[in-house]
Amino acid sequence: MDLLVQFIIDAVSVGGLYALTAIGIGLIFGVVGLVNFAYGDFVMIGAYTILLTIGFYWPVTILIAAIVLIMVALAADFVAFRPVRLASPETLMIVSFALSYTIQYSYVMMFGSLARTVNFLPAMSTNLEILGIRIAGVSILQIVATIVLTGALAAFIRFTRIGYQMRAVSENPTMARLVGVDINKVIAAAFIASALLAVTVSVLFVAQTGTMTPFLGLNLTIIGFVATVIGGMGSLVGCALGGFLVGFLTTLLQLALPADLQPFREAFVFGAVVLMLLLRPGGLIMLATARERI
Amino acid sequence: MSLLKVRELAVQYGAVAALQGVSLDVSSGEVVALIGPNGAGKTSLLSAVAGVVRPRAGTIGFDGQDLVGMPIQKIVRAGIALVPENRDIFTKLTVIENLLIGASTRNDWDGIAQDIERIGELFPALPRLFPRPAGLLSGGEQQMLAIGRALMSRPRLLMLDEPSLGLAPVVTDAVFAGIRTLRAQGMAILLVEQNAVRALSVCDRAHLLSAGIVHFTGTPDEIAHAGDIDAAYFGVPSDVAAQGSA
Amino acid sequence: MRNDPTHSWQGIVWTFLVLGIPVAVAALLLASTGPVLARVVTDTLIKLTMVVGLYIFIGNSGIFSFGHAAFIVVGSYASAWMTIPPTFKKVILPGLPAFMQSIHLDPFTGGLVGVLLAALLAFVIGLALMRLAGIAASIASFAFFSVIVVIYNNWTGWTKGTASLVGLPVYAGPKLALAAALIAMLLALLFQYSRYGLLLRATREDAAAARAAGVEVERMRLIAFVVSAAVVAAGGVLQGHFNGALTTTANVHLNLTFLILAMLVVGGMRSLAGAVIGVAILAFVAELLRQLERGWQIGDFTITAPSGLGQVGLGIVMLVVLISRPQGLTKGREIPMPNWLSRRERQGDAELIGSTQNAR
Repeated sequence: MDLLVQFIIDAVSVGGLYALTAIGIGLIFGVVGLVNFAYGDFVMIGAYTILLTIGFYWPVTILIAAIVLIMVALAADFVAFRPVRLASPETLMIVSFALSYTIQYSYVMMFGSLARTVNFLPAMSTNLEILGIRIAGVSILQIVATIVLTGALAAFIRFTRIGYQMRAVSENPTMARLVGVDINKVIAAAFIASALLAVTVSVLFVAQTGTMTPFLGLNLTIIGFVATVIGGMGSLVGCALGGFLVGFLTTLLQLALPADLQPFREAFVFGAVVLMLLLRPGGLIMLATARERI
Repeated sequence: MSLLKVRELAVQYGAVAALQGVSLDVSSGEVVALIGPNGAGKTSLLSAVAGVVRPRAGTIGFDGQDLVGMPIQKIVRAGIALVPENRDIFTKLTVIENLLIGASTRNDWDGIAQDIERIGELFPALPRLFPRPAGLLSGGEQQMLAIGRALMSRPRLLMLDEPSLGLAPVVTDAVFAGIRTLRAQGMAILLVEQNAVRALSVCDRAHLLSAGIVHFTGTPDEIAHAGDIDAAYFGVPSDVAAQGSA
Repeated sequence: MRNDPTHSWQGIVWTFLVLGIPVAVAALLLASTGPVLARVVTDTLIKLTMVVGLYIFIGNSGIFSFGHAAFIVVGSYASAWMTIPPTFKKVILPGLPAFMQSIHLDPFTGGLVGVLLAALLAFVIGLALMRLAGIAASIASFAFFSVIVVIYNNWTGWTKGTASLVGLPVYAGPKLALAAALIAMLLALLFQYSRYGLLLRATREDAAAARAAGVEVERMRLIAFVVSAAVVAAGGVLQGHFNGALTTTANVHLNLTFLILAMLVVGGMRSLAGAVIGVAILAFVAELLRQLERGWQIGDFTITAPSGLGQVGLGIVMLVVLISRPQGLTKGREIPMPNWLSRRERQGDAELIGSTQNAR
């Protein structure tokens, strides 16, 4: 019984982190039609900003990281993505791939490629005992952050003006322009929202692992892609579900796989994507934009 | 003085000339119809005025401003709204959200609320559908919603592309009744129709467009009497000819 | 399409010669100046082989693949297992099963085993991947690459894991690399000219219409995927036997993936001319940046750029080209045939139409 509860908490907290990552990627895909390879690098930039501002009171650190990431996301949109806005999704994707590579090696130039460690929010690594079950503080933070952020984002998209404009741009960008929607403003809002999700992931990631390299975004990007593909690209609910599913799968494999197969855990998870795509090419939730005509 | 002044407009898609030197005027409180078969260039003209397509030559004047090269959003702000041929309502948004998004260029919330009420009076079928996803609406309801959405930007010129397409006659009646009301309120309307009989019943002037060139311009009466042109480009009844030449 | 010379066999010959001769002349001239440049030339020609291999799939199908580095890994390790001398193998790969320990093939057969294994893997994985379209296929190819890297990374008995595998016989030089690159180019042109290539290009322009016309889109993609994987793997095998060492490190392969994709995209991913020109330009830029990273002399000072500059420079070049010219420098066009040749081209076109009709 305790083991089961422990497992569920682990799965939900890991899954929450993955869900946040997937939503950040899925949101931009839905609104802009961009598969953003650089998303994980936004998280990496957030982590290094925390490293640089660790001396401040922690809310200040988080605030600075958030501001930096919003600026980076807006700059990426302005410099790299806006000029190719009307190009094919493949071109957009390859631009983000190039951007990701450029960001990673800019950080190698600045900080070297060796791992840096930092002790951020040390209180979070202590364990709490609730009803006889030991839970890591970070796990609770992850679960709370996931619930609060997805809730806030859902409400934002559902109830605000920019929210329905986002949904309209996602459905038919040309018509949205024809009724006077400022597309650049809506896309900027989507990038800001995804930057806020990214900074949350940065905070949780640094609080949990305490270590970073310029390449830390890569794994997150892959996991985010996997989750979005599983969930059906462009559907935010699907992304969240996909993230939780990957988290659940990872935690389950950690428990179930024999020790000598443990290192292959990721391979199993990524293999699950290929399998998933084979069975349901549209993801768990079908979405027209991810498919070809017909 | 006319509100919209199109002069010698030419639109080209690659090697294909969609419009060649078309001129027309629309004034406030006036319905001007563009009639012609498929591929005549009617939609191209509306797209050029709306800013979706950049013309190769010619000028588009609106209330003294030159629209050529102006960003779409500014054109909407200037007072032009387009109801496209396939309506293009946002199916995943609710009906009320579709209307609200039509007011994207405005921030006067009181005025927006009033306009929503006004559109409810213009199309009495709409208000009870407000909370529904627009994708669930019937074709006629979608057409009314698309017109309502266009009106939400408080346009002075409304451009309608084939509003009767695919609608039952009784629904078309409701749509055209709405058009007459809007004209009475002083709206300038540029109407594209393949259904010439319908268009002539509501317009003040009509341009007969074929292969990107205006072949005849006149009031509905003049067109009715110019039998040879009628026969050459549309035949009588017009629908049959329009489809035959398409 | 009208100006595309690859629609006639004369045009194929023309395109092969007009691209192949400059490549061969430049490579042989540069390689003859000394061992340093010979190494650079060999390395560039191996990259060219990989890029042309990538082009066979991406250029014809229009689908980006981020997974082709997996075929480089699979092909080169298989070739290593086949060709490292048994006495040596016992020392560096003690975990290898007995029957693998005793195998010792000559370089050509060993390389062929690597290429065939990669092609087989491409076939199996392609059965699943090719059912996807556009972006979903690209993402899945990326996931596939990750799976292969994780497996090779942890399969320590066979691959030495994260440590590099050394001891491969070093036999790849400029001439062999040139031969490989030329064969790859010819193969790409023949594929493009073949019925499969033509049909696949039709699916690239409009998959729905092609499907409606009875083209089996998935099968066409799969064929291109397997051919492409084989050529890229051949490049990987050569690279292994050029460096004499292999690694499973994900970043190394991601860098390679980035470099060859950048070469293809910068040149223009829809023409062989684009692939060749992209390799030439980026190889030059990369070499220049590498020199900067090593440091250069101004008077008595040696200025060294921080490491990572090379990659950042490549990334920026790629971004600038993509943003200013999304179709690549060649805009996806081949080098046009001169008039005195294209008179005959028209005949070729007529024949071609005849032959596709017969094929139906």
